Amino acid sequence: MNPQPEPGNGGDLVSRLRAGESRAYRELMHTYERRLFAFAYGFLRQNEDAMDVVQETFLRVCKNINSFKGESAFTTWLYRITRNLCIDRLRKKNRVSMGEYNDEISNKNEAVDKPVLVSSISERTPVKDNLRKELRDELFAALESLNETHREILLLRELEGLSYGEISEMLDIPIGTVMSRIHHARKKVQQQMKPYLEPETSGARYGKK
Amino acid sequence: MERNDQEQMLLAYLDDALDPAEKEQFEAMLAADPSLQMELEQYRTMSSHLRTELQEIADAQDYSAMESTVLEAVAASQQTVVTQRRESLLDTWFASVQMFFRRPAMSFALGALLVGGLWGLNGMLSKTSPNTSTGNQYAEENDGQPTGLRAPEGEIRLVEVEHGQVTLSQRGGDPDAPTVIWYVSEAEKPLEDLVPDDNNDNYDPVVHMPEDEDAVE
Repeated sequence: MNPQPEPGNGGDLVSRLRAGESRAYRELMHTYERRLFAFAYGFLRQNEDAMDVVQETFLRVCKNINSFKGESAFTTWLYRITRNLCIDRLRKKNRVSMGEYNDEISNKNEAVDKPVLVSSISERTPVKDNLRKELRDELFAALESLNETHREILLLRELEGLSYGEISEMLDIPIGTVMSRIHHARKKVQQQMKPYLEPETSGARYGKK
Repeated sequence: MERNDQEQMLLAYLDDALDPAEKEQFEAMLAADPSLQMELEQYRTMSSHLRTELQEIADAQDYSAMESTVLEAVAASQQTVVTQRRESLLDTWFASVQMFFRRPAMSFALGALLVGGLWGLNGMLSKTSPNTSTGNQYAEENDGQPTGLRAPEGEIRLVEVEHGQVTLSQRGGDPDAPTVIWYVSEAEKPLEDLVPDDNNDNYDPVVHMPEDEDAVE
């Protein structure tokens, strides 16, 4: 996913979107569709659901662009729409994890042998591809075990690289709360992923029994 | 420094949220603590892995159908906007009219204007009644002078025809002299009938002098 130029606080792109320029909408989609999809997928873990959310995000931009006053960054507004759609969809599907931890995942991790460091399987081979898939599943499972507030904040920070201030503005919470939530979210994922993140020791191999 | 504070600093360091002094302090701790280095590395690896995995999944998607749907919706909404603008203009016009009539003074003024206009229109139509047009036509055809109609003191000219009453003034003489007005009854007859005509047996006007109101044959 290549980084794309951003329209900043809106400016010219927003004006063109307001004018209904189809070229502006194409530009908007090419700039954001992959990023929004990644964010939505991190939330929903379903390709179809994530794509629906991305589409609905753009449709809402089309419908509500005149109500965007530019008081916040355009990107912030866009992610807020996506985030709200993700939460709605999660709640409709009753898939929201309200617990702080997923006990099943936590217990499963206890049974894992000492794995190799994640970075050591970045080189692609058939075996390593399988390992990587397993690691990916574990990572997403750990992400899914977070409650929605921790999940969204981790995605906004780790995936989108939004600053504390931007996240604070988007979620309308104090910066201290942002820092605290990021801390807790990272800590939980890190604890669940720890067996996969530690260096290989005593000749142990990556994998679960 | 307590463990919890150390972790807070580590996470803030990851996000580049420490001020220069704190950053220097943390990096000194980091250099002296291999377990802290490993923890920092784990967080970085986790973040990197999360980002990479999600981006790879996002890159593997086909967005063309979604883009088409959005562009179609954009085009449709633009069409709707045009229609709404037209309707909005009409709505605005009707709203203005409604607002106008909600003001009693405005309504009264408009009503008065309407009545006045109708009254004036009625007057104009009366002036262009058949008698008037006939008279005017007669005057035009005869250089403004009903030929053959003679007042006792000379030739007269048509001045006005209104509601069947013909007003005639004396022609010629001193232009500064007061106009002598003649009233011709036979109000229902067209002007032609008032003009002496050997072929017109209906000519039987009664001319009154305004001064004495006496009928003159």
